[in-house]
Amino acid sequence: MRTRRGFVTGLVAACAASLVSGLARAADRASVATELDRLSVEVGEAFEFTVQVEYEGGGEMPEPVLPNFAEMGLTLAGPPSMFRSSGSSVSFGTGRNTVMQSRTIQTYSYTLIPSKPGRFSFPVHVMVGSGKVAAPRTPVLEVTGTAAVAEPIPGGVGGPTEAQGDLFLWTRLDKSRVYVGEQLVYTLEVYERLPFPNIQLRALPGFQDFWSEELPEGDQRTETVAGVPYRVHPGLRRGLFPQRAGSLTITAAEVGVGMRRRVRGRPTSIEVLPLPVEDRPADFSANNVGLYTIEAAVDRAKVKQGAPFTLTLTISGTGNIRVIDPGAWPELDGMRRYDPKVETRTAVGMRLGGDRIYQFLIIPERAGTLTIPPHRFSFFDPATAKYQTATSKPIEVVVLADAAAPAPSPAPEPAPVAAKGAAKSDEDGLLAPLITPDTLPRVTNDGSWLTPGRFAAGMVLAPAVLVAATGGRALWRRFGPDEASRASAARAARQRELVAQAERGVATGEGFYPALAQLLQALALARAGAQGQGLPRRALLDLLARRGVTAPDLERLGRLLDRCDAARFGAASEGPGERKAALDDGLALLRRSSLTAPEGA
Amino acid sequence: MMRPMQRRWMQPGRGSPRAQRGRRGWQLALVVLAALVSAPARADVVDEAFVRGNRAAEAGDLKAAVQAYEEAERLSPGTSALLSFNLGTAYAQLGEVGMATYHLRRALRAQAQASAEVAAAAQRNLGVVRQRIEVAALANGAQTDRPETWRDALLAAVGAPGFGWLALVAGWLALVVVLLRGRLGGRAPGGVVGSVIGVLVAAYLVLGGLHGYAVRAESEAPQAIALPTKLEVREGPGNHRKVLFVVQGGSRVRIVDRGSGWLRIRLPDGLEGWAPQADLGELAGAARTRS
Repeated sequence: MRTRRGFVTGLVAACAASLVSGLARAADRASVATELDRLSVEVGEAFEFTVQVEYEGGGEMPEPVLPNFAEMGLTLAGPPSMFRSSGSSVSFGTGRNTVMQSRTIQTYSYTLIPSKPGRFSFPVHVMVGSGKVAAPRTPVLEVTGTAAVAEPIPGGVGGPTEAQGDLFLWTRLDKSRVYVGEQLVYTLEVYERLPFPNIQLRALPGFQDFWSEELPEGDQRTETVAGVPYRVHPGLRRGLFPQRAGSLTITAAEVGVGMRRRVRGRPTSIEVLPLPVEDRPADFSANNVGLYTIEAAVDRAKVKQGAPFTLTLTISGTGNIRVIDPGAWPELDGMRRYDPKVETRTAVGMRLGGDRIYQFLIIPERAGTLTIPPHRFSFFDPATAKYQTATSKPIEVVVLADAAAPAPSPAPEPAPVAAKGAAKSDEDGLLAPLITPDTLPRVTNDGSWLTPGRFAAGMVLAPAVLVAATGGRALWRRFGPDEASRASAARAARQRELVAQAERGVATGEGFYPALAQLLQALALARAGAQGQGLPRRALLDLLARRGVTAPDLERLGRLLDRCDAARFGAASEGPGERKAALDDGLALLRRSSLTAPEGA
Repeated sequence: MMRPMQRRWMQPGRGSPRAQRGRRGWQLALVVLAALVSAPARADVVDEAFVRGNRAAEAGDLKAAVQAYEEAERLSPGTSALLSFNLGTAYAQLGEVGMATYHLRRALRAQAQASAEVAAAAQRNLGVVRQRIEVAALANGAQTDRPETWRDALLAAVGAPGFGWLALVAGWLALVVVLLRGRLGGRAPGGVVGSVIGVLVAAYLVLGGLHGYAVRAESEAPQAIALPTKLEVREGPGNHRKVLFVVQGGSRVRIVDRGSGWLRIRLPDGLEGWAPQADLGELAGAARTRS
């Protein structure tokens, strides 16, 4: 066994060694193929250029070396798409070494747009090691049409005078010469003969030297150019405000038709004049070019001293309203003014304009009729080429004195340190002064004993106790003592009541003997039982004797009862001492005698 | 003056032994009484800081006054309505309406047991500060709470512990009268007892209900004061979240939720958002100081 196993193992090892030692890598080899999807295109029409590199070997995949597209006037429409496939094969030679082959194919696809006519070839090669491998065939493309114009043309209001194919762009400016800061309306229109379904603005025109504001686009219309009917699409409309003087250029826009075609317009130039120096007001700001008016209003004409009201200044007109400079605000006598809240309401029609609204919070600081002075600001009217001044009307505000109302603080924000001394003197009359004893009065505990939990417990516990007491009383009635016990308890209570009455009567004698007699009689009847009811005294005493009451107790009982009778019916008169002694005798019988022994004893 | 007297007391043989024991007893009692009486009046560190603040304020150095008052507040937190009043007034003079409102309101809490003088002064200064807050809110375009209504005043009044005690006493008194009605029946007219019980039960229910409502409202959404001049309230707990609105400092807000270092607050008109906990002073919480 050991011999056979060793033989098989050795055979497998020999085969593997032979395979590994005989395996050789094929030599590096590359090839390039190029292709155009068409042979002829027009300027602006996209085409596709495909390069395929096939590489065999273990090295790095070589990159294709492309022609200079920019020199050829070709623009890449997006990044190239790439696709790679690879595979390996091993061939076992008979009498030769075993060869492993690895092959990779990389495909590049470029979408290009020509910008000028001509005949262009596309040579491509790759470098493998130090060798150059070129494509066996160089494709050639014929580009027809006219090249895009790079030189700007002066802007104007006129339309095109000659037809320019089935699709072209046209730029209009509403003026050919403007002042710095004056509004200029730029319109880009797309002229098309065929209904192109998907026209998109690919490149915006450049407004580098202009402040630009969007304006609503116009409507689609039909126009005939040199006898050729076109449908005109509004592409873009902007209100432009030139920021410097000179000849300014608006670069060309570009639209795309689907993914295959680009159409570029022409750059436009405009002459911009500087603002005249003559008659320029000292307070003029270069932002104020247009035609403006100003109005002032207050929300209340009569206010209390210290009560705020609102002053609204509205600058309206046509021009770059967002950047209007109202100038310095006039001083207000007797009033304090806070920084305004500013709001711009643009009115975008054919031209840009609207309202610039400044809302001031005003605090009148003294009573009387206070006047808000007019506010003036200067602007340059390009229509008349003159500087003008807009002025608001003065406003009178009646301020009513209000001694109770404290004057407002100097500023809502924390006052600066340097101003604190002055502020304090004003405030001393407003704020109650500090209270400055030598010792600080304090309370011992900050928290109240009555916490919410304790309060809730106390509130719930009261009705709970009531319910428990009522329930307990009902239960006592239901499951309490029997009739005999209740009768016994009633007798005991009656005894306590009679004793108390007798004690109260010891001093005066009032009610003493009746109470004592009733007490003793009840004691005797309780001892005698039912048979004693209604018996005369002697018979009752005899019955008690038969019931086991001792003779001394019977004698004492009889004597006390006789004394009670005598006192009650006037036969004898006794003093408090005698009544006290009688009561003690009675109580002795009540508490410690054979009279109180139970019937069964 | 004391020495001859002490010497005379210490001389042996003067008077009977009983008289001497009596004198010693009086002497001891006087010493103990003097110690008891003088202990609360003795100036301590809190008083020293308070007096230092008073002197700084009199000298016009309000910042130093605030520092001294805050030191006193830290040493003895929440125990003096007068200290809260002085602190709030000093802040008001500095123009910090948020901190001023916070401390003046703390001076008016029932737990602070402010004297009539302090309470009146605090109410006055709170009114002045309130007017400044409204003007500043208008100027800044910030949100603020509405002025206090009768409902706020009612809730504040019935939320005081005194109202709770009244309700409890009425309830338990009614219980006692009901339980003892059988014994009282023979001595007092039944109609009078019934009326007394009715009045007590009504007081128990009305006062207790109002107090419970106020306490519950305060515990569920405690009041706080916006401390900075402008408090930015955001849509979520975090500085990166969008600012929804700005609350003017000194405005009262309710805390409806709590996050990590952030509190969700609600203005009386229903506006809600999140604000940093450090920028809010809870009236029922521990006293907040700047330093």
